[in-house]
Amino acid sequence: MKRDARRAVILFLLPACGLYAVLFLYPVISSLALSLYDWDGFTHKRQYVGLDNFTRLLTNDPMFWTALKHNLFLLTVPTVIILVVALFFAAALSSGVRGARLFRITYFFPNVISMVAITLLWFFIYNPTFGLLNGLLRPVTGGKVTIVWLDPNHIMGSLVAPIVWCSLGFYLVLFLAGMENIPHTYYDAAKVDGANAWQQFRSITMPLLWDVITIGVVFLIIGGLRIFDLIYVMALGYPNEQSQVIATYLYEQAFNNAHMGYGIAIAVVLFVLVFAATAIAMRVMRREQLEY
Amino acid sequence: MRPLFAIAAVALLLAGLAGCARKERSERAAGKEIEVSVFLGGYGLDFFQDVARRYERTHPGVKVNLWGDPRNIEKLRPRFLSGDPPDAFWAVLPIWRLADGGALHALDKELDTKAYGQDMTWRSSFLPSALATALVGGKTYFVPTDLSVHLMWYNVGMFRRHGWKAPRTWPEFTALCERIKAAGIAPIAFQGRYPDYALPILLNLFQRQAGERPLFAAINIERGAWVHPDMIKSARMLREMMVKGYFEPGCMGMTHTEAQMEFVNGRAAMVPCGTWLKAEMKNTTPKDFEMSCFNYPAAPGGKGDPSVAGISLGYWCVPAQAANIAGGADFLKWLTSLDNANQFCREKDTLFAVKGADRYVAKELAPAVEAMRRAKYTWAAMMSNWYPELALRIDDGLASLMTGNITPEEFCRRIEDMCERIRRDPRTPKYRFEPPAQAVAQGRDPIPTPEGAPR
Repeated sequence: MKRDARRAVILFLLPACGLYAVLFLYPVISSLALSLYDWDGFTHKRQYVGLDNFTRLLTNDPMFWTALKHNLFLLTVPTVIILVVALFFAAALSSGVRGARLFRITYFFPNVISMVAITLLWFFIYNPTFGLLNGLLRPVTGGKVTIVWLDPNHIMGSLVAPIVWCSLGFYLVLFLAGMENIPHTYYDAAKVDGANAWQQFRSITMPLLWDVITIGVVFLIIGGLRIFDLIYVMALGYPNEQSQVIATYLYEQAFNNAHMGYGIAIAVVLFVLVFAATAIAMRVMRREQLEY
Repeated sequence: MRPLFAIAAVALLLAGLAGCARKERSERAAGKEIEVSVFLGGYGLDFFQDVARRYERTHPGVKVNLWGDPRNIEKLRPRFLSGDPPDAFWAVLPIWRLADGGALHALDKELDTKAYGQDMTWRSSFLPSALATALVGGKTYFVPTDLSVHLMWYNVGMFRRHGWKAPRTWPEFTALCERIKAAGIAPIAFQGRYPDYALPILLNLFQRQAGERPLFAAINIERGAWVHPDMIKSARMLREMMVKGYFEPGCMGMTHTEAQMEFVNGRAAMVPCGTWLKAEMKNTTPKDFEMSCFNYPAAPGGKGDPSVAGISLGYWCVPAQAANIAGGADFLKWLTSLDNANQFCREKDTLFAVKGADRYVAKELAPAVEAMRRAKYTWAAMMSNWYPELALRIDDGLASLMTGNITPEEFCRRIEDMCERIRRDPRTPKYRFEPPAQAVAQGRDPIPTPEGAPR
C-alpha cells in the first residue's frame, strides 16, 4: 500500500516536473551553454569561446558598468522613496482616515495599467513643449524655465517619478494588509503606557511588519535590477549611455547587434546579480521571528 | 473521453499546419511561389503589394506571398534558425553580420543578367556608389532600394519673407543663423532624442574641411581617423551651434516628429533631415507650407569638395537557405526595375538607388536630386551599419557633446577608443568601403537628372 502511494505521488508529480524541466530547467541550462558561444542568433554557425563573453563583459565593457550603475540608482532611490511613502500612507490609512477604502483603490490603480501605457503617459507629461510639467513650470517661472526632462542630463532622475507612481499602490496595499494583522490590543496597551503615534509606529508597527517590509524590499530589488519596459519605451527603443540598464543592454546586444551569445552572457550575469542581491537583502534584514 | 478528443483535435490541427507549411515550401522550391517579407514602416505595404500583383501578371503561374510586419525581424529569426526563411526580405537587421555568417545569398550572378525593361545588366541599373555599399568581401549580398540624401531643409516662405538665402559657405550659414535668431525664430529644429541626426552634419563638416581620404578613413575606422584635427574641429563647430543657440531650446528632448513639427509649424527655420522628410510629415504639414533643402555649405579653405553628399539606403536580401532563391532574386530585380523605382518615388516622395529614377520626383526633392547630380561622389556612414555597437556609442557621444557633458576632444577620443576596440576584436568581422572609382572619375554619380519632370 505504501509502495502504491509512493507510485501515485510520483505519477502525479511527473507532469508538473516535466513541465518545469521543459519550460524552466532546459532554457536555463541551454542559456548557460549558449553564453559560452559567439553566436549571431540567426544562423547555426557558432564558435565556442569559453568564458570569453564573461571576461569581456566584466573587464572590457564600460557600458555594462554604466548600465549597472543606472540599475543601482533605480534600485536605491525609488526603493527608499517607495518604502517611506508607502509606509507613511499605510500607517495613515490604517489609523482610520475617512475614505481609506477609496484612497486604497486610487493608489492601487496604476498597478492595473500596463507599464507601456504608464510610460507613454509620463512621456507626454515630460514633453518639453506641450508637456504637463513644463506647462506648470512656465507660469510659475514667468516662462523662463523649460526643463528638457528626457534629455541625457535629466532622464535618470525623470525615471524615478513614474517608477514611484506605478509601484506605490502595490506596496501600500502590502503594508496595509500587514498592519491590519497586528492586534489592536498592542496599540491600546501602548496608549495606556503613554506612547505617542511615532513611538507606537517604531516600537510596534515596524517590528511586527518587518517580514512584510523584507518581502517588499526583495521585490523592489528584483524590480530595480530587472527593469526594462519603462526604460525601453521612455528611450524610444534606443537607450543610450545615460539611460542604459542591464536588461536593455542585454536586448541591444542580443537582438539589435546580433551578439546573441554575448547577450545571453549578460542575462546569466543579471541572474547571478538578482540572486545575490536578494540573498544579501534577506540576510541583512533577517530579524528574530516575532509571534503574535 | 473529452480530454482525449481535445488532444486528438490539437494533434490533427498541428499535423494540418505542418502539412500546409511543407506544401508551401515545396511550391516555393518548384518556383511556383515566392515568399517576401517586408518591414512595415513609413513606406507601408501598398506599393510592395502592387509590385507583387504586377509580377504575378507578368509571370503567369507564379504566386507572390508578400507579408509585412513592423517587427518582421522577430518572425524572421525563427524562420532563419529552422532553415526555412522567406525567399526575399527587407528588415532592420544587422545584414552584414548575416552575410558573414553565410545566411545570405550572393546576388552577383543575378546582377549580371539583363535588367527588367532596360537594355543593361541589373548591376548597371544601380547607382554605382549605392551598390558599392552592398559589397561584403567582394560579393554583393543585398541590393539598395530607397535612397535618402542628408541635407538641411528650410522654410521657403519664411526665407522669402525675410529675404534670407540658402548659404553656400559655413560663415554664410552661421551668419544666417544669427539673422534668424535676431528675428526671434529658432534657426534649427533638431531631433535630439535621436542624436544620429547630427552625424551627417558632423561628417559633412569634416569632409568639407579634411577632404575625401580622411572621411573614408573615418568611415572605415582607420587608426587615428576619429581624432584627426579636422574631426575635433568639426565636433567643436557642432557644439558651438548648440552653445550659440542655433538649435531650438529643448531640442535634446524632442523626437524626430516633434522636432519636425516645430519646423513645419514655422517655429524653427531649418531642420537637418534625409529626403524622407516630406513623406514623413505629409499628414501634419500645413497646406501652404513650402519646404526646400540645401547641401551642407563649404568650409572656406577646406580641402573637401563641397558638392559631396551624404546618403543612406535601404537594402533587400535573399537568404541562402530560401526555398526559391531564383524567385526571390528575380522578384528583387523586378522590384528595382526603373518603372517600379519611378513609381516608388512618385508614391512615397523619396529617391531610389536606380539610375534615372527621377521622373516623378516631387518638386521639394528637386534640390536633393540636383545635389546628387552635382556630387563628385556620395558617402554613407557605413560604419554604423557594419558595427551597430559603434553606431550606438556615436549616438551617445553626439548627445553628450551637444549637451556639453563632454568636450569635442573627449568625444573624438571616445569614438576612436571604441574603433580601437573593434579593430582589435578578432571576433568582429571588418569591412571597408570605397566609392567606386568610376563615380569619382566621372565627377558625379550618374544618377537622377534635374530635367526630370517634377509634379
